[in-house]
Amino acid sequence: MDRITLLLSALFFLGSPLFANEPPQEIRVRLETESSLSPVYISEVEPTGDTFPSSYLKELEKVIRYDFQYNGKTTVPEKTAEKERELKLMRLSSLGSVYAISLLVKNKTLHCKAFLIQKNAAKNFPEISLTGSLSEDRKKLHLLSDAIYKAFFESDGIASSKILYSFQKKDTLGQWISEIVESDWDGENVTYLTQDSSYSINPVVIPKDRGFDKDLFLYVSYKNGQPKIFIKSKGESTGKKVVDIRGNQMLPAISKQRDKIAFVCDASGRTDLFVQSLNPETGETGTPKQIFSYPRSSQGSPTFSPDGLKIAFVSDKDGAPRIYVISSEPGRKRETARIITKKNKENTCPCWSPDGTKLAYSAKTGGIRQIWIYDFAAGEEKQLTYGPGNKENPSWAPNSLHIVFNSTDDNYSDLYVLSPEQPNAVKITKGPGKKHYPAWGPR
Amino acid sequence: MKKSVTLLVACLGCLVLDGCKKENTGVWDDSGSTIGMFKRAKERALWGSEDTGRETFATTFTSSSAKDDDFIALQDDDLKEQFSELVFAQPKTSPGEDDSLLPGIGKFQVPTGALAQVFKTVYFNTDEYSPKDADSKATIQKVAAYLKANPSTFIFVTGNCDQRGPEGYNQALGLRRCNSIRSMLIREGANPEQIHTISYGKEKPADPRNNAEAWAKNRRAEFKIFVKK
Repeated sequence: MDRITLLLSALFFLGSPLFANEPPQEIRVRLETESSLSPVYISEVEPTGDTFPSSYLKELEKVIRYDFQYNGKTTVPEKTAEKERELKLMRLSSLGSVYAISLLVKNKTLHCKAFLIQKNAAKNFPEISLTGSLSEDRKKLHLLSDAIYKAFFESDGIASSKILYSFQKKDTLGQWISEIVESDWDGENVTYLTQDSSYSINPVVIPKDRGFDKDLFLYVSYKNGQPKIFIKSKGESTGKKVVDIRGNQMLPAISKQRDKIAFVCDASGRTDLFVQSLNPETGETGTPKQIFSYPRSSQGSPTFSPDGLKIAFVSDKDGAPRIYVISSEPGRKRETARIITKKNKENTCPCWSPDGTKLAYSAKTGGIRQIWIYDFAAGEEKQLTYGPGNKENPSWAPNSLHIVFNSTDDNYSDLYVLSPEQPNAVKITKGPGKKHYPAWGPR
Repeated sequence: MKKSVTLLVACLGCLVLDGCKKENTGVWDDSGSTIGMFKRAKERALWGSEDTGRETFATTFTSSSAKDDDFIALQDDDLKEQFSELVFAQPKTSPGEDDSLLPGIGKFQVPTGALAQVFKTVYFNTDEYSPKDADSKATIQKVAAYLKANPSTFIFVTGNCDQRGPEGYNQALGLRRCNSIRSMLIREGANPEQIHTISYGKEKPADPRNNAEAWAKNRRAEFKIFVKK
């Protein structure tokens, strides 16, 4: 009887949670949307009358084809002579597509008609006067792509959105300099937003608001020595400092409500997290408030939740850097930070999706930094990227589906865009120089 | 009766262990504290007691408070007993700003000649923010002594990291490194107002190669000096 008792006791111990404390099997998943890609047939740009050379028209066609290949909803099948004939003859059901777009340039004006084939519906879009300047005409075509997308899907596209990033290179004296540049979402039309010949990094797009459609952004500049946070309009030549506090200020973030900024600062002698109220139009600011500090640790990379009430950030207070969440308006005592990332070591650069459902970040996985997302509803961490190159600094598109990030190895640092349902990330930058810290802006 | 008691003890044992397991899911919290303890022990072994430094500082300077007007500080009094750490708030103004009597970094010089022997580059081990060896201690002492003897000399201490770490996190780690050097200088008696910090993270490597030799060169703190006339 005593032996049975002992056996039962042993079974109790064996069944206790102590022995169930093994990590679950890791499940690698890709970010998936509910619907798969629908084919949209895009015609060749047909020229009539006095128009641009065919090589130029091919460049314009590429813009539309890219916008519909990577928008996360459609895929663009190859053109064939037979399908071109079928489209001209309006035998749309033979195209094997759900949608079709026909393009015609007549006397330097682009005419566009889009078809919802299964619904037998068609829509003519306003004519577009082409300038012959590819950079200008690209912008017009991206806007057209968004208009067509809206007609197809009754939601906003991202073709006319912009990506800001830091571009580092050496100057003629061999010194490292960095400027903030902007490009179209496909990486084209690169424009310098700062030209300080100094060191400017970490751009942050300030959301637009009704009545305030100035294109404003924040960035960090080292022009006087210590990094400070500046605000600038795209049309202005110089920025204006927005945080008036001692020490270094770095890694800024702004709330979607555009009423407060978060940043990292060593004013106290530690590497702390601060929040400050800000009116981007008037420049009015509040007193910076230290919201997280922890002895012998560094805090970094804040990102606001879309409602502005929470901040996710990086801290190494528990050893390796992890991502935590706290209130953006805590009291005077340090709040207990809620841990988000548990699977991997070295979790950094979180970015909260505009719809609030996910956090994108970088985590060291098998020795390589990959892009992961944390799904708040499921409470799960999921790996998005695989393969070589250390991937960091993810930034969400306004649609909360696409992500831009930088990937670095020994020889390059370039930007890539992850599109839903596409097997590979698309490289959107090229050439020498280090492109990093991307920030995806609104349309 | 004996069997019941035994079973009851077994159940109680499970409950206790379950409580322990819940503690253990926060195991990396405990590990972090443990790691912190080891790091502090190493720092004390290399640098001596913090109490000595605190006393020296307290008798020599009035620190600029971290609770000054320019920001609202956390009132983390609850941590003062758990961690002994000496942190020093930054000087109120930053060189090059409108309200500063000091120029921007463009006017600060890389030390040359005899000064280069005083203001030597300080190096760090991976993921650490305390300088790695006794040579660094000698440099800190020399720099502090120089600053005490030359109150018109102002310095920037830059914190840098190697290429392997994550970019944003390295900006923060660089900040911790330069503040660590600043704290050590102040504990050696230097005036806090003479020392300004800059973190470059891994943005400005001294050696652009990507190997162990280059990484060791890039994990560094460097000095730039300005003499106010």
